[in-house]
Amino acid sequence: MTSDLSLSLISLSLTEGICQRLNSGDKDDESLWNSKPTLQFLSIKKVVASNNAGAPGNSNSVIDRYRIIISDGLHFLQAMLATQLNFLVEEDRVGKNTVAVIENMSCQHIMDKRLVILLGLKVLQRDVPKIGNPSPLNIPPPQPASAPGPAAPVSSSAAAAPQLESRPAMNRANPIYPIVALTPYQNNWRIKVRVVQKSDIRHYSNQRGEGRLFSVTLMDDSGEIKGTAWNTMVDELFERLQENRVYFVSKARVNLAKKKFSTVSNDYELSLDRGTEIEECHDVDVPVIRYNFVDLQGLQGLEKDAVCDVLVVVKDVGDLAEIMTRNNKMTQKRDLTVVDNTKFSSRLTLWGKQAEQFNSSSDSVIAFKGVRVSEYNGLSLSLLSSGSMAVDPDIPEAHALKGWFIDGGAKTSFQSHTQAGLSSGAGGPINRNEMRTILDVKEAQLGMSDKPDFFSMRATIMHIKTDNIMYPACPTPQCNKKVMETHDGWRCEKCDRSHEKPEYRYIISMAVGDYTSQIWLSGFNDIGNTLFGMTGNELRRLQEENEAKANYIMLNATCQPYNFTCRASQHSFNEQNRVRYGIQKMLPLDYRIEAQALADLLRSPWAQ
Amino acid sequence: MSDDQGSPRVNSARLKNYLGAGHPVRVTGKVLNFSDDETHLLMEAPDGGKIKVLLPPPPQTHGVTDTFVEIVGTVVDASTIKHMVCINMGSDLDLNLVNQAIELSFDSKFRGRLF
Repeated sequence: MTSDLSLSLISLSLTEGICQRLNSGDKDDESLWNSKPTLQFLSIKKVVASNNAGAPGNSNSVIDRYRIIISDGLHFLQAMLATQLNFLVEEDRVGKNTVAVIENMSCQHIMDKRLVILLGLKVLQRDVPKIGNPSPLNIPPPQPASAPGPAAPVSSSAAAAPQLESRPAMNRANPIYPIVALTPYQNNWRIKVRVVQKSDIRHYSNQRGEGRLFSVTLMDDSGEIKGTAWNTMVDELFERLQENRVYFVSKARVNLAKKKFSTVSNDYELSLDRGTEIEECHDVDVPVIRYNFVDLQGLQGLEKDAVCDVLVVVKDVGDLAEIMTRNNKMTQKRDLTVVDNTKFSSRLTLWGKQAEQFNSSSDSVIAFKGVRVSEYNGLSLSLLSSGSMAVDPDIPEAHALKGWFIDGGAKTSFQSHTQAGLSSGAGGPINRNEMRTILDVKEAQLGMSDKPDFFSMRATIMHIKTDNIMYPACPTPQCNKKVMETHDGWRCEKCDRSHEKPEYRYIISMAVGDYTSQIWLSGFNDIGNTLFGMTGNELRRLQEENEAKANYIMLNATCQPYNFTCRASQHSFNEQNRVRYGIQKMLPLDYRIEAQALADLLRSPWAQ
Repeated sequence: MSDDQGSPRVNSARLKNYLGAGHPVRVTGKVLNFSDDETHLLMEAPDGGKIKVLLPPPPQTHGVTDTFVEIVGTVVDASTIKHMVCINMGSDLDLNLVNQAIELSFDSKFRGRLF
């Protein structure tokens, strides 16, 4: 700030007419709001605004605010000083009659009145005698203090005060931002969002100790973002934030999103911490959940693990089942069969609470948001824990779907991706156009990069390794861990129990070849079942009873051609990097289909 | 399957090309019915046309047991062949596919190389 001495020599002239323009000009006129007018502060009054949003534990519970009457010589106008500038008043740098250049200001809309917010200013001179004889603008008629919050002690004439005090939490310095505009570099923002999903409280422990967290998915018209509350904030916010309600959120920390833990499509995510302010919004115009629907037929075009939304009719509701996950936790799951008007059906799996609480009947139209495409037993869908479902949503697509279903859609026969996956080579996982020869696979060095590669091919089995063709496995479904023989049975470490008899599962290592080359593939139980036509247990029994016959069966499995989908990935064995080819699907050839494909190929332009 | 040594596989439309050819042809098709006295049978050729097959008199047996068969024989007229040998082909055969193979085998592009 330049010294008063030099300033007293400068004749101070205020930006006349600016008050009128600020009050009634175009609120989106950037040049207006970026102009740096010189104004005189006719009076500064402190206003005690307590945060009435009822947020316990919010540390900024009482903030002083200063209301300033700004004058341009012609008119005077109400304005508020941004809280970050409070120190100017407290340190006596601005006071009554100070003239300053407003370097940064913005405009707040409350109902349909405007309030100018002074965000940045440069004092030109303090204590200048009042310039001009300004007349009042923007002083609304005195209103009864109908505010729900505590009436703040306001002494000035501006009756806009009760209006302000009634929504003190609205006196953020900023207008409402769209979610897409949030960045870590700017924290004077406020968003108006709907909670579309709230997770359960989860416990975690890492090197630094233990903790709790829960997260919410927030959405507005522009996009969505995830917000997480940790430890003590969990207690404060878990009850306050309810699904499907709309809130104003500001002063949360914007961090880079940890994509591993979230499937929300935003590069950033919010940390709801001590300084965050959350206030419920009761406006009528609130952001509605936006969907990006893919129809069931279009699922084929999506990659494995892609996340999408679907709008479907539930045709069949499975029972609630308990299964054990990899981490030895029990989880509930429920399978639904869903269909839509592209005449396709699919399986959709619900997990945990969503599975437990599902109580819609079949034939209801449901919109699922946040569904992952997976290839477990053919194409199927899985509702993510961060996803949500809305039964009979009030959107035009849902009405159209329901209309189709009632009109006879229910009776059509549906094609299922699942079947396509299991039939021999009729689409599904065998991508005929992308079939490769073995030499091609080797030369293209598939699997050499960090990510596994997938490919399809047709080859004939040349040789199956017969030593170590199976292992004793835990018979608990989904477990499959190798069990050790102990004095009281076969013990599984994972399930922590012993079984009387193990289930023998195959580990197949075999050499396959086509007209170009030969490679080794590895496969598991399913592959063995297909090769030999019998389960591991049966083959083992046969080996014990009639070894010759068992050998014959194994030998007979060679020289058969199959269609394969394989996965090539790198593994290191004792410091050596090797590519291993694992079999995902092995399908016997349906000559009819294969021959037809060949015939088509001969007729295609390739053969001309 | 070349012309000068074996018997080419034909469908009903091509039968007439081999009238008086000296070597037999083969027709793969579906047995429709036998005549009452078993002197001939009617079969459907891969292109849908009907062909009459003259069967040998006893004590020779014709050997037709399955629904789909391939008959090797000489051409009598544009829609009749005389049975020499029969190969049974089971109960499930995609005749459309067979027809495609036949047509492709006569395609000049593939004739010498593939067939």
